[in-house]
Amino acid sequence: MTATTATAPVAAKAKPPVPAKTGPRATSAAAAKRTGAGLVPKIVAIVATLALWQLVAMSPLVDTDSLPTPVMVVDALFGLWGSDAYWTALGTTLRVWATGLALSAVIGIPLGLLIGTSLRATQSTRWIIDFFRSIPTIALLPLVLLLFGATSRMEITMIVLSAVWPLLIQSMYAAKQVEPLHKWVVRVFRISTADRLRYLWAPSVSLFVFTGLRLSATMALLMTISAEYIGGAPGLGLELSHMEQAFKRPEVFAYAITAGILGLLINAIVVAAQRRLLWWHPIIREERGA
Amino acid sequence: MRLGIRTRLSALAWEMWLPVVVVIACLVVTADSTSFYFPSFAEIFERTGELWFFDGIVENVVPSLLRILIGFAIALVVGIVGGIVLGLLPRFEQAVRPILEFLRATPGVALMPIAIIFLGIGDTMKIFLIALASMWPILLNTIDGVRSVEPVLLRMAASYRLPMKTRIRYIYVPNAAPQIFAGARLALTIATVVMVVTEMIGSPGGIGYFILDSQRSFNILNMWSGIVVLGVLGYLLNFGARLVEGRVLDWHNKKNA
Repeated sequence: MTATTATAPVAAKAKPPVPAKTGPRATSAAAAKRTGAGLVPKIVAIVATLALWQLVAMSPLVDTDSLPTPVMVVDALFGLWGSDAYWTALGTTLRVWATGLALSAVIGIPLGLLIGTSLRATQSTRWIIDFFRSIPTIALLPLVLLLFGATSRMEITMIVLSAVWPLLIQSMYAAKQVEPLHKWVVRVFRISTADRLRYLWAPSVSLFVFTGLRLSATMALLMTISAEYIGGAPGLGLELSHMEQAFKRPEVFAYAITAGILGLLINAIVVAAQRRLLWWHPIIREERGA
Repeated sequence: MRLGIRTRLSALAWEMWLPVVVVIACLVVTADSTSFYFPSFAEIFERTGELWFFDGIVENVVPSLLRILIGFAIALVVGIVGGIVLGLLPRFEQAVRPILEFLRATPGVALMPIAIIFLGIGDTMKIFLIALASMWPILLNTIDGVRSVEPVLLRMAASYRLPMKTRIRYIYVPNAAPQIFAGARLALTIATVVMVVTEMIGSPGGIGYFILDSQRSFNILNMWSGIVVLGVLGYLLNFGARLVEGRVLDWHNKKNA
């Protein structure tokens, strides 16, 4: 199961659009076996892609000025690894991204859970949340740019404005799907609030919240780099824009690849954290067992 | 859902009150606003009416809409066809998975300089980037959907020696449809963001360009009106997508109800 399956709960409003996976799971078990054995074809595919790129870049169809060969790009990447500017930019981007995401989580999760527990609150906020999550927040970039200038505050504002929604909405659904029977049991036994939070709420909502976190993390990275690239705040996006204007093509590719690696890493970290923290969850266990 | 008319009305009332209060509050609070950045709501709406009906719509909304629709349509076709093909070739899909994951994880904006190098700053680049960035959720969800077909159905199809065409039409596609739509909805959000970003960088024409241009010339009212129009456009696009989904997945929702 990749990040894509995670979109299912987002869609789950009144009616779950994705069918629950009942039925035999023989195919996924077979697929899992193949994954273990299939390292060689993966490497072959990557090498083949790189070779194809090299051939196209060397062929007379395109001049090497516009399409650098992979060798040139790797060379540029190594060159950048030696420079301070690269690491500073990477560090800034990561810091801003993490701050923005943390802030979104601090705002989005509690608010979403609170709204989700009450039917009236859900109804009251339905239209507002629906409206704000479907408008492209990037449109506010010029305004935020005017207010804060090309600073990390501008970036963080943009990140929170866009990354808070997946978290908020997933937390709302999370609060809704807590088993009513469990809630009654907890009430009947007069279990203390702290214990309720610890033993009922935290385990029940965590999987949905994690899904929201993964979506938000991706959104936040997209926003960070967009804000840097268009708004000119320091970071990877700005370096990318500088290299583009200086016609340093291999460096442009190197920075784009860095952004890709960053995206991969972020996704991997969230998935690993989910495995680590939610190893006991039936759905996660099923995935591992399969 | 068969609810009584009273319950429905009360639900509607609960849904209505906060948005109404918020709009009125905004109108009142900003009524005699002297702030440079936050002009009064009424003025913004007035300007929106003047600017966008109907010159602005022809000049800026239509190009934006065309771009996102064409880009999104390409993403849908490539994503679904590619997803079905990859879903049917598990070994090949396993091999190229790392490459797909890498391309998907790369933020679309980071690919923009590269796209500009090859395609310039015109419509081709914009449509290409919209299609590219919004293709991944559709592609990966289609693969997952095709993969999760009940093995019993496939064995049945094998027993009856159904041709591949029939299997795709009556087994794979209906089974993957809910997943494809879930991916498409995510893709639409991404497509809107990429549309605005590419317009902000590229050539004139389009709402994104209009907003950034107004900001650069400190025409705050124009900028706000652009934001309002873009918000409405985003909302309508989402609404339209949900309508289509409700239609197409009607059978599925009924089955699950």
